Amino acid sequence: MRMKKDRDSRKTGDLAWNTCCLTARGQNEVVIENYRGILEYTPECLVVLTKQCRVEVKGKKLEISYYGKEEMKVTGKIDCISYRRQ
Amino acid sequence: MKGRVLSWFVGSLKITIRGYCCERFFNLCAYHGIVLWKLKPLGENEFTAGISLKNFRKIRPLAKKCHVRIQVVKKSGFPFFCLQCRKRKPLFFSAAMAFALLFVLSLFIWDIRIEGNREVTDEQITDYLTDRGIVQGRLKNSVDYKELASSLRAYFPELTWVSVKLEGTRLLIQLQENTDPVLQEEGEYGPGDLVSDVEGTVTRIITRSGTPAVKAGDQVKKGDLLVSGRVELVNDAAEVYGYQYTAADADVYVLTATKYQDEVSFDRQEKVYSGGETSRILLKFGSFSLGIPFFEIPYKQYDTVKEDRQLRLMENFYLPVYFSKITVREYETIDKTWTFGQAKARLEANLENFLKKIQEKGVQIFQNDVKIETADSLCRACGTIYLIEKAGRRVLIEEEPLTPETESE
Repeated sequence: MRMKKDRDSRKTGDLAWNTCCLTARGQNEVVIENYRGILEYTPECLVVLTKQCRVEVKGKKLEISYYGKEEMKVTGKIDCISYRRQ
Repeated sequence: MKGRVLSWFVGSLKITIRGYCCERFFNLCAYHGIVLWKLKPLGENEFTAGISLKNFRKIRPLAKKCHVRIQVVKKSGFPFFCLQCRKRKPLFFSAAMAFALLFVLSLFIWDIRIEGNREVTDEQITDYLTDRGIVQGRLKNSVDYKELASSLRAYFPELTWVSVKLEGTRLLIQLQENTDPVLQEEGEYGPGDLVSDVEGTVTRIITRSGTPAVKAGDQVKKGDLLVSGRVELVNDAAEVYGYQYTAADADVYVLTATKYQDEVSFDRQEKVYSGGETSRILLKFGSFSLGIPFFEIPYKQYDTVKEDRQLRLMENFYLPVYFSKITVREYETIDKTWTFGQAKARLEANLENFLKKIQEKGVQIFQNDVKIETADSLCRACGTIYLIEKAGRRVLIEEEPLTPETESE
């Protein structure tokens, strides 16, 4: 019940404050939601522009499994995820 | 899996994207709802990605806007397969014919399954269905399923619930039986007596409606009245002034004696399988059957085991094609003499089976006097088994007016 409440508040938070949502599964997969676009993409670095900050995903052999309007999934060996103020 | 199949049907492409503003191109694609997958950098300003055929037609203006070059590397999916095969007309024709044949076959009933019956046998129901013309090969639309369910209920009174439904090309008949003949719903019957259908001694009687005519310890024969459906109405002076007629209902338990006899011979002929075995497949389509391979059975004495399987495409899509695996095993007959112990064990097993079947019907075994003895070349089990079983058969009665003598009293 509590978990469901947390999840709901997270969803409403995304919508209300336009925050991006990152879900990392292990070291090999990150799902990014609520972004504006890709700024830079190389096999070692992916910079994603969100409404509040820039998200940098650094690693090796980075690949975007799918890239759509709402959601993208990044796979590869991820070393670091960092946020930079715009 | 579903997504992959769908993607194969709509067709997809693997493309390379070259240019200085590839990221902008990706963002524009996302903005226009065009999904790219397996997006991977190949080198500087060069990427590879997967895209559906439908979306590929939309990206040309976006590529022009971003000054990127798109090159198709690989095409896959059903539309491209069709393009490759466009010159192979017989292939398309045969595929179309196969689909048409499947469609035609799907219009008929090819399997009838009966579930839930215990007392009423499959054969009885199948015979009834055959009489009504509901057999394999009947058009699905020509059967009124509701009417069939109600007619089954009417024809077999022991069925309390019948469901007839069609699943694919299979007609599924689900039944529920009332195995207790006495405990029927009141109101289904008119006024009636309960008479004995067995011979023996009454051990217990529980009357729900009617006037009991017997009590515990009474001897009853077949046809004797157990519970009368006529209830006497008496006034304050204990005089009968009328009768009320009802459907007699009671649990009457009767102790009955059943003779049991079974025998086995000490001299036996036993099969010994020699190990010789051949098998073949029989393909059956309607009345046409084909055995693969063709051969004569080379054995003098043999057992044949046949396993039938009906061809089906999906769980409920049965087709009128049967595969049978016929296995022929050679055996030799050898004369053997059983010991008393072996014969006794066989007779005891038979008796146990018999008692088990009786108990399955809800009959209680009171006493078992079966003895096993030898006689010449036979071993014989004989004796009496005493059972306590529920008795009672309904007999309708006609309402009689009160006799003038009774009236005058």
